[in-house]
Order: sequence, then structure tokens, then C-alpha cells
Amino acid sequence: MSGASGSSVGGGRRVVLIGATGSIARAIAAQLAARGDTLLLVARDTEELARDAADLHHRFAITAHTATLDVEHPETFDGFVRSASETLGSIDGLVFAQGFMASQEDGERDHELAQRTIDVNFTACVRLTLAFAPHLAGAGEGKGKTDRARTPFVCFVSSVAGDRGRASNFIYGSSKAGLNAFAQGLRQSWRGRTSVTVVKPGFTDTAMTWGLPGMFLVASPEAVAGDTLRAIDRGRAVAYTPFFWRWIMLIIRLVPGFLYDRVKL
Amino acid sequence: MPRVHDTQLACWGRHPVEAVRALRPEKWGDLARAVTDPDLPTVLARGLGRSYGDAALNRDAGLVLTERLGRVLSFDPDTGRLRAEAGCSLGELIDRFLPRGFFPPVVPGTRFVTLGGAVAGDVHGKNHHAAGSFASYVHRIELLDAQGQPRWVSREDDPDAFHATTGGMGLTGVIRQVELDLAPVPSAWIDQHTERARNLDHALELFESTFDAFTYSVAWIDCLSGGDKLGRSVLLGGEHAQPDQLAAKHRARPHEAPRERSRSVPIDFPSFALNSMSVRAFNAAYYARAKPGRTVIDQRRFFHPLDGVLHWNRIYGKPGFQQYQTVLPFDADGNRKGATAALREILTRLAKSQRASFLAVLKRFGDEGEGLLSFPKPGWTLTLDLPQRDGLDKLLRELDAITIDAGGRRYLAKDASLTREDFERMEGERLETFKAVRTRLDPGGRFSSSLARRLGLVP
Repeated sequence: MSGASGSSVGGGRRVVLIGATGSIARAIAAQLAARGDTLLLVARDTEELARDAADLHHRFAITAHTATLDVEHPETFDGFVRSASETLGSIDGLVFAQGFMASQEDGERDHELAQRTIDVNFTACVRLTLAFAPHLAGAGEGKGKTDRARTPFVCFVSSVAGDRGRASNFIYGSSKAGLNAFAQGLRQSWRGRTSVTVVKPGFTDTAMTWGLPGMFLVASPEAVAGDTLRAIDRGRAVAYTPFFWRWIMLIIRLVPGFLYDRVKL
Repeated sequence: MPRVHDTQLACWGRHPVEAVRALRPEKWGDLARAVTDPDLPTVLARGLGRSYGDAALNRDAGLVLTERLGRVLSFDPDTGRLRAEAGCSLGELIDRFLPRGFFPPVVPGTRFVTLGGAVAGDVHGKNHHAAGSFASYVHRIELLDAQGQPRWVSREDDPDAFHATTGGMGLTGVIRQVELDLAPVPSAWIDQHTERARNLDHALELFESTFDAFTYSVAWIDCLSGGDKLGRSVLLGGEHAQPDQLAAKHRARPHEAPRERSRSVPIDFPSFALNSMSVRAFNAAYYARAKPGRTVIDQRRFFHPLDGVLHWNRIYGKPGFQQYQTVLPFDADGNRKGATAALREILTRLAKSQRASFLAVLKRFGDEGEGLLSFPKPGWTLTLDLPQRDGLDKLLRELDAITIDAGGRRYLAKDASLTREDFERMEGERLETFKAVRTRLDPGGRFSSSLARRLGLVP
């Protein structure tokens, strides 16, 4: 584990960011850094992580540590979590922003891709959250300045695709649906101790969607990150971003089954 | 492999609009894969697309967007030396480093320009007469070659490669990183001096007597006035304000200025909205409102007033506009007579044409830089915004002829219409030097642009 350290702003929280090199994660990291939080950036690509950490350190004068982890290898998780908690001490926040999406056709043809979608988007969240549980700060122990910021949090960046399975994207959608159910239960279970938030972005302008046909109402990663931080701060269970996806998805969920089965979405 | 997005793009002037094959890498591995993608005939890097014509376009070929690779990778608070990825904008540097007392040594008329674009265009600002162009403050540039291999170039190691890259319009390789020196400044505020000039002679006299002495100076010209009011203008001079010049409430934190909200032009104006009547009214109002005297203002309002109105290019409507910037050089011994005569001829021609130019800016350039294709050299530089209408190209060719007669040249970052023949007449021998160095750096002709093909900069 290595870090670009320096004059850190006192009073910030200590937050672990999984999947830190994606564009939504980078935007979340920048907005946390702007508040003076201390970060542990986690992803596969060690060199990209070092550049991201240097950038946050120089632009925001915070300490950003890095750790290399491949979320498809759960056997490495216990060792990783131990060393993460040694680096940060107790942990005030966990953000899961890693993601993998193959096209539905590719997933149906190459089952390794289907497996990978579930491993990255769902299994890794479950295993890592459970492994981190003993290392999360207790309620009221967090380093934040305000009462609300003192409650430790777990935030999962999920997707509107998990709200109802669609023919065009249901392998990816099911991995996110599993994540949503896990987060719902976790929130009940950890009530009063740790706040659990699921963020469901609609189409976001990331490498995952860049140049794909059929994109509309595309949000910037910065806008999604802003909504994500607001949802965490307010202790929300679920937040759609941008907000109107809540209404779009409500309509999609309300379509009766006999009709839904006949349309192709 | 990063996905290729086949799309239509233009630059800030919204003319021309071209089909391009765009890629937007977010990691260095994908950047190298984009540069070497065998499906693309040629590639060009593009930052925030704030050049005006076709400098950042590559018709039917690869356009590597650098906007997602703009990280600051090192900074030394003792010296101001900073290393960042090419996609980092000057605006981001101002936001992050001005509160710590540092400012870009050269800023063009918009803060939405990337480091890569600032190097490739060797941009200049209101301090050119005193401080030179952007490249003067660049220490090293990291270039990716046609094989995607990185290499640092500096004045010391390979001066030809360095000087072909500064002002080289992105044609020597893809710039991945830039190392430069930020300048320490006493505050986030500018001590602004305003003066009105009745006509061109008065304006030029004010430059010589007063405004050349300011760190920053520029004149805004009303191009619709003719006769004895030809060249009627408002001159602005600026110095970085010292903390004791600031209002009491800002003195404790002199490097922090209040944030202003940006407004935005929501839709394209109909193309008849800008005509000689409406611009004449605007010009008269601007001239009348410019109060002579001194005032301390936020750096944003001094350097980038137009950035406060997002998408301001929409006021020209769907056809867009061309920005035209020319330099009319002084003699070797500094005599301004020939340059001034050419300037007067251009303004007279323009006033006669009754084409509405909202933004006409005049300033004196200082010494020529080292870039093999850099634009500035000692003389008057005039910048015009002209709506894209029938007959515009004919007028611009007439202005080019005046420029050529005066021994001047054009700013490629703003050009959409210069002919190859006129370009060669303006550039003379240094063009051959540039082409030779470019060919050494890119023997296979991997890097190209629509502008480069139009002007014969690439084979």
C-alpha cells in the first residue's frame, strides 16, 4: 500500500473507494477530496491509481493512499481489508463504484463474461462489505465535523438497470438487482450503526457508455457524484441520479407483466 | 480497445462541421491504443475545442479527446513548477492554484483551454508585449509518437522537436503531459485602468504613451464606425492588484475571489439577430459604459468576461462565425508606420463592408517566440469575429492580401479559410523548417488534421 501524503486537512473522514479509476469514482473522489477527506483509492491498475492519488493530493492538498486489488479474486480480500484498515485506522466510509458491463449478446455467447459481470458488480460488493464490517467506525465515532457526517456509511453505485430485468441487458441488470437487495437488507441490519445508501444512476457519460447508440438524457459523472454525496450526507436508502430516473423507473416497474413480456426494452 | 464514436463535430466558431471518428480515453493504456488504432487513417488530439476553425478537426479520421486525462501529477509550491496531463484546463489550474498564490503565466481569452491546446497553439494573452507566449513558460512536453511510445522533449534535449511542438498544431505527436512554471501573483484581483480613444490614431497613441507600460493591455475596437471615428476604442490596462489595494474584507485572503454564477445562451439565435444595427447599438452602449479611470476587479472579469456566458457562440446562430486574427509587424527597427497603415486599411475595408464584428480586439505584440510556427511577432494584432455569411471568404482573402503586403501572418488556432498559397506566402522559409522537423518526428504521417491538409502542413 502506498500513498501520496502531505498536508492533510484536519477533520476529514477516512473513506475507501473501490473501483477508483472509473469516471464516476474519480468524480466522487474529487468531491470527497474537496471536503478534505482522506482517501484510499482501490483498483486493478497500479499506475493509474498512483496518478489519480497524485492528482487529488496536488489539487486538493489531501492524503490519498492507493491499494491494488482485483475484485474478481475474493481469496485476496481478507489480506486487503487488513492492510486497508492498518493504513487508515478505523474507516468512516466505503464507496463501491467498480463495475463491469458486457453487451447482453456477448454475455449470452461467452459465459465467462456473464460470470464476470456478477463477480464484479455483485459478489465483490457482498464479500468486501462483510470483510470490512469489523473495521468500520462505530456510530458517533466517525471523524466528520457534523453529527450526520459522523455516522459511518456504505454506498453502492448501482444502476437503474437493476429495477426490472430487460431483454436487452438482464445479465448486468440482475447483478445490480442482487446488489440492491443486499443493500436493502444490510441497511435494516445495520440501522443505527452504519448508514447504507444505494445510488442508481441512469445513463452516465463514462467509458462504459461512450459512443453507444441509443443513449439519452446522459448525465455527467460530476453531476452523479454530487447527487451521490448528497444522498450519503442525508442518509438516504436509495437515490436515483439524475432525479427524474426515479419517475421513469416507477413507470417501467408499474407496467403489468402480461404487457411487459410483449415489449422489448 | 476504447470505443470509436463516429460523430459530427465543430470547433468554437461552429464552422465547419465535420464527420470525425472520436475516441475518449480515460487511462494511459487506452490513450496509447487510440493513438495506434489501425482502423484510423490518421489521428489528432483535441482538448476543449476552443480553437475556432478546423485546427481541432480531422475529417473522417481519428480525433483523440483528451478531456478525461487532465490530472495534476506534480507541483512544487516553492517554485510553482507543475506537471499535468494535457487535458488539464487553465481554468482548473486557476481554481486550484490561485488560492495558493499561483496563476498561469499566460492566459488566452478563455479559461476553457487545455494545456495541450495551449502548447499546440502557443497561445498568447493580454501580457504578450511584456511576457511572450505560452511556450516561454513550458519546460518539457511529453509526446506520444505513432507507435504510442512516450518521449519527453525539452529545449535542451531536442530544441527542434520542442519548437516544432509549441505552436505545431498537434502535428508532431499526441501531447500526454506538459511541465510548466506557474507565476506567483499577489492576489486574485486586477487593478484595471480604462481609457476611451476617439479614433485609431488616439488609440495607438495611448498604447505608446501609457498602455504599453501595463503588464496586461488590450483595446476593444468598434468596427462599424468609419470616417473620423474609425478605430474608436476602449483601452484596458491591468496589473495584479496588491493586497493593500483590495477592499478591506478581501485583504485577509487576497487570493480568494467570490465565485460568480455562469449564465448560458440556451438556444441558437436566429442568424438575422446579429446585424449591423444591433451590433452598432451594442458598440455604442459598450463605449458609453466604459468609464475611464481605475478599478480593482476579480481576475475572471478582467481576463475572461465571455466565459461567464456559456455557449456565447450561439449568438451567431446555426451558420456559426469565423474569427480572424492577423499580425501586422513593425519594421526591424521598431518603426510602426507600415503596420499602422495596414491596420487602417483593414479597418476601413471592414467598416465599408458593414459586416458586424462584435468582438474586435487590438493589441501590441512583443518579441517573437521560439516556436517554428508560432503566431506572434512584434506588431499590431487585430482580432475580428465575423458571422458566417455569403461573401465572407472573399472579404477575408482581401484582408489576407493586406496582411501579406505588410509582411504579416495569421493565427492558425482561429483560422477556417486561409488558402494554402496565401499561407505559404505568409510563412516563407520557416514553413519548410517546420515540415522537415515534423517529418523527422512522424515519418509515417500518423498525425494530421483538417487544417493541416488544407494548408499543406502534412504531405
